[in-house]
Amino acid sequence: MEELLIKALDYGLSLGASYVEVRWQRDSGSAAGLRNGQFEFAVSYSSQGIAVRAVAEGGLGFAATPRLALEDVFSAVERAVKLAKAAGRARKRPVQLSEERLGRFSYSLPDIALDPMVLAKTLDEYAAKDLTVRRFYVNIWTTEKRVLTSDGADVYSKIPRLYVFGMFIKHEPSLGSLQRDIFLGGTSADSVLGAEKVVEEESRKVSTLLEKARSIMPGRYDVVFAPEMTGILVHESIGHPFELDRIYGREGAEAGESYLTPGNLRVKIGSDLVNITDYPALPGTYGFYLVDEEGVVARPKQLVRSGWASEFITNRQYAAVLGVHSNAGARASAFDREPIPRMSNTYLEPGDWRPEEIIRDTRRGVYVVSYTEWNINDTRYSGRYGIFEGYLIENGELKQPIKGFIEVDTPELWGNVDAVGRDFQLFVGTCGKGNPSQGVPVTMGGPTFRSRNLRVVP
Amino acid sequence: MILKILQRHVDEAVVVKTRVRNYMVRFANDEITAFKSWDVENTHIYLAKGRKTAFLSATGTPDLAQIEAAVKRLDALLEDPLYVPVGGPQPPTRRESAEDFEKLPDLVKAAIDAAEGVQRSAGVVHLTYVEAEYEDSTGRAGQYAVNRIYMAMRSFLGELSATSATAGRHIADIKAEKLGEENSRLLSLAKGLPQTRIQPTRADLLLSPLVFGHLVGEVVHFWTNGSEVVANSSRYTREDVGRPVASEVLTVVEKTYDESAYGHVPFDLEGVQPRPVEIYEKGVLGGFIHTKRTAHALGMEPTGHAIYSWARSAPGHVEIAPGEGPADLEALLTDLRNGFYIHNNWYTRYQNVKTGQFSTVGRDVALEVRDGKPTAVVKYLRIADTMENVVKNIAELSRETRHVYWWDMPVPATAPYAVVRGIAVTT
Repeated sequence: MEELLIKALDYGLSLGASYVEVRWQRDSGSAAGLRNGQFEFAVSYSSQGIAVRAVAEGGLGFAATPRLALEDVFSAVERAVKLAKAAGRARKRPVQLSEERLGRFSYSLPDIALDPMVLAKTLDEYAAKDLTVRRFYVNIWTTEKRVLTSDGADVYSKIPRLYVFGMFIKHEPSLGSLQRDIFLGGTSADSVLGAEKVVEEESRKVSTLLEKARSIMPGRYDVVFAPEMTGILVHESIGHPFELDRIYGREGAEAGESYLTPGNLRVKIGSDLVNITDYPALPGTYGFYLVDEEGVVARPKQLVRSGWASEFITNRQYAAVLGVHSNAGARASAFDREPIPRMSNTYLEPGDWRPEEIIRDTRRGVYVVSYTEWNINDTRYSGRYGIFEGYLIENGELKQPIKGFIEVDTPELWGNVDAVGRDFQLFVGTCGKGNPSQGVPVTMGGPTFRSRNLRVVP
Repeated sequence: MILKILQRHVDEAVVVKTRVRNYMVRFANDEITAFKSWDVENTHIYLAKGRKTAFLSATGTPDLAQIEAAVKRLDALLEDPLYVPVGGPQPPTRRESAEDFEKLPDLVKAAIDAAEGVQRSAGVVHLTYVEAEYEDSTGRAGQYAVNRIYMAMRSFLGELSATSATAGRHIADIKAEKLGEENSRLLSLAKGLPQTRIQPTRADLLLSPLVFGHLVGEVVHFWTNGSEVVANSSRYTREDVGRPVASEVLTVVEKTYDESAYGHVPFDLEGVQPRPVEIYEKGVLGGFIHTKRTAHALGMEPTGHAIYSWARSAPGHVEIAPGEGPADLEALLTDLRNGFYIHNNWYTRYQNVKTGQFSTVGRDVALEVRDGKPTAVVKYLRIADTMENVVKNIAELSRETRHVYWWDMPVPATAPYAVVRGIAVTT
């Protein structure tokens, strides 16, 4: 493999490319699904091939082949260089990449010795049996990559991952209907330790909340967000808009752009208590990696510091636009996908409040534990988050379970933060972006926090 | 060869080999950001031993160890409650030649050049050539090769934007200039209008083909899908077929069978040729899309919709029949009279898939309409209602349809404009 990849690099340079990057990637594993306790499917899979990215005559070209014979890989190299040159003719500014100290090492994590169907069946045993719908989907796989670049990177990685999705619906015509989705996972079997308890508790809540939760009176409330909420808020309203390719319009027709603009990057987006970080190298996490697809070694990205936008998720191309170094944000979900700036593990940094102190300190508010439906506009400014589990807070005490939606603009959400907890938890997600679409494993989370005077509607 | 090996180990087997050649030009700020070409070659295998079933998928051809591992795993599985024997009519054979990807940058230039009066445009053109070969242990065999292409472009003017999209089966189906012209026209309509936000309310909506096709695609995917009906996660049951469940002006046909549809395939992973499925006929629920497995479970006929997986049926292309309303946007605004025009949407999420409680965020220009005229651009407009209200409250459909697909559409669609009354919106 090494000889093949080196020959591909050399061949790309000989064709006139100024930069060539070659990545072999293999994703192999097995998945299983259960539908209302019954077998739905079991699948084994293996996907592998070689991706080639080239910069030539000012343009960027990408080609991928599932065939590993030298002639097929050379054909992919030829296509990447040819497409780069064609793209270059239609550019006003040539593509450039930042200069980096690049990784030259290998790393591997131990395999996950679990069977997806066995795990799905085990979890299903803990799910409430009065549900109308209960579905489980479990995927366990290993991603191996070898990345070589013409400017010196050479990195091999082997990372296993485990992903669990559970869907619970209770449909009772006299009461209505309620759905809860859960996502669990990581890079080791330890990531599902305690999953039975999560399934048991969350599936039972569906019936309880369907019966007891009441629509909230519309109005402004001080909202205390538990870590699951912190995660989705951080991911959608900070992580995505801090991706530099979005800010510079590359995703404009698809995943969208950003409320940050090239001429107005260093804005105050939150209160002084808001510090938000993206860090791939957290051990065991679903978003874990040590080196990105361009050979850049991962480090914490300090996206927001004391409320100010301070750093952006980038690859080498957009780092060069800003005149900074890449912070190792380039990720590709499969061998046939182009590396683009992505999140990994994104979180609000903890503060010094105990979570229960924040609730006690809130006179009239809402404590939101978890969410259902959510979405945000494509510049990531206007968000809506449905409450799955939430409670009124009156004079510092949790009261009636409520249902409703928080509809909030990003500057208001983070600008009104006045208390940040010392607790911390990350939640699993699959982040979608890019064309063709790429779902990459991520986590998101942080501590409990409070944002004052937000709009909550039934 | 693989089939012969498999037949030594299992009772039934299906082998489907696919090769997909992709060519994509992406552009932003009026320049090409990446020109991509990627090939995907997979072998998909279905195995059955007694009533136990499993799938195997591998790049290229799976090696013997992968096959043996899959067979070994099969023994440890639960029985498949939806098991049906392999078999049925012969799948068809039809091949067409791959089209020339080198023409794609010309389409990009034509679309950008036609977008007069805009500041910048971003978008994509994606050409795909799909080849598939099917064979199974009963001796059935077939093969096909088809092209498909879509193009989408979003143009920007200050804070305003407009998206146009088109799709077809051949490069000649793509009229790139029209994308630029349509974006230019919508932005000129919105330019200079005041920008506003709204409070949660119910309103009449005019939905573009992009939005209406998106929402109906969601309904077909989640509610009229045999897999979801079997799982009890659909709003509908077997008994709802034949009942009036939607507006009388709504007729929807699943068109994967149609050779002119972007989402056309000649046969699915079960070797079944897709057939027309009347989803709604003048508001009456006509049927569901199915695999052989889901059809058998519900006592219905297979429809050839094991398109991406043996486990779950999926729509390939939906067509919403046109109505009698005007084809022109300004005339449709006049028919709407008061309400909002939503040009595009994304990020559709469900509070509950069974009840269809959802919200979706408007993107691009959303217009407030008073007395048939646009009076303001509404920022961050959302539809937040149920899919049931969407399909029941349709008042008018345009007499022309568009063949559309873009990145965030759940299913390719041929769709008209739609006036839908009394839908909850928020911001």
